[in-house]
Amino acid sequence: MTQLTLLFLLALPLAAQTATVNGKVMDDTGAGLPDIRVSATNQSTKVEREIRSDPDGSYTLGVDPGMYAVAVDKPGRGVFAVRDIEAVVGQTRTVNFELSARTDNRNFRYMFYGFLAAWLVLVIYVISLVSRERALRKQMDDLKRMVESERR
Amino acid sequence: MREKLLYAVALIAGILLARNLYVILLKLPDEARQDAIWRIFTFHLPAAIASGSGFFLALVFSGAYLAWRNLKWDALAASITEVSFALAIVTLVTGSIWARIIWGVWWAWDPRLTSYFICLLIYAGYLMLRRVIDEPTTRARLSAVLSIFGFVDLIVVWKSIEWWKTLHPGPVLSIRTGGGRIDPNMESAAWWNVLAFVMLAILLVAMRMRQEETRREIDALRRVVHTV
Repeated sequence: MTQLTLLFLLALPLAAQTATVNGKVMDDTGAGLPDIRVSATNQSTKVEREIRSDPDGSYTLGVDPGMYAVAVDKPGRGVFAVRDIEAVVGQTRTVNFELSARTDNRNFRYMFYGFLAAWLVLVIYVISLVSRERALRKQMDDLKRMVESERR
Repeated sequence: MREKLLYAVALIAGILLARNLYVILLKLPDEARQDAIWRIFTFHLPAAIASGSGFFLALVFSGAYLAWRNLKWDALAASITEVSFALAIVTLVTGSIWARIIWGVWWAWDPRLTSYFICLLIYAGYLMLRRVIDEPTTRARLSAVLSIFGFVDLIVVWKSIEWWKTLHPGPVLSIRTGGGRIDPNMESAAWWNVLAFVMLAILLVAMRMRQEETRREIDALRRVVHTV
């Protein structure tokens, strides 16, 4: 019994050196999403802690102090990460995730507009370069013919 | 030989772009705060770096023209400026589409965007100036001076996110911040695309330079026609 108490007392300072990151994983209506993998990765040591969200979507992770990237795995859509979360001893940082399908569609659409616009600008420039080159070649051929006919 | 080299550059650029699109669209996850739209960064930043580097090279060749008065340097500066201008348009358009989602507006008059817009106006003026002046040495001299002006503004663009509090995000690349501001996989994807854009820019500059050579041949032929 004395040994157990001693062990408990020795473990206390270690426990006090941890920080807590908690929050909730929700859909766009605010309802909790259960069984979603949530991880906290220390940005300097790369040590990762992970947990699955509770039936109400909430999660709690105990981590060492430091800067963390907190991420959730969204089924079928990859990992969402929030970086630069500073975990401080004895304090709790709350990071909520809203996995909204409605915003995603608009976001995706604009992403493709961006890609399309970039390619469009480049393609238009290349077409203008090629047509200019053709015009210059035609001009040169005309001049060459003119010089030859004048010489004859 | 030169043609073969150009085809090789085109092939490498094509392979790199295809590989990068695969990684960006299918391998990398969405970002927490920005969702899928962050991927525009992998085109916006490479276009900005390639065009900025191009404008710097144009400044160097413009300086070379002013020092040695060789029209070859002027042709090179003009070719690079034109390609860089096209890439700067890509930067502006992709940035605007990203801003529509993240800021809720297509455009904001913040220091980074405003100085970049002025920069584009200066280089647009450079390209227009070259069309209206026929005399090659006057055209080269004035273009070189304008290139210097344009690059001074480009320095303001580059430092604006450090000098002023801007709506535009601050520096994120590890070479400027020492790391920790962006996910390493996302940064790596952007750098791979920088390589692809630089290859593409080299290809376009080579195409544009060939036109300058053709134009010189045309001028020579015109002189022959006049003599004859």
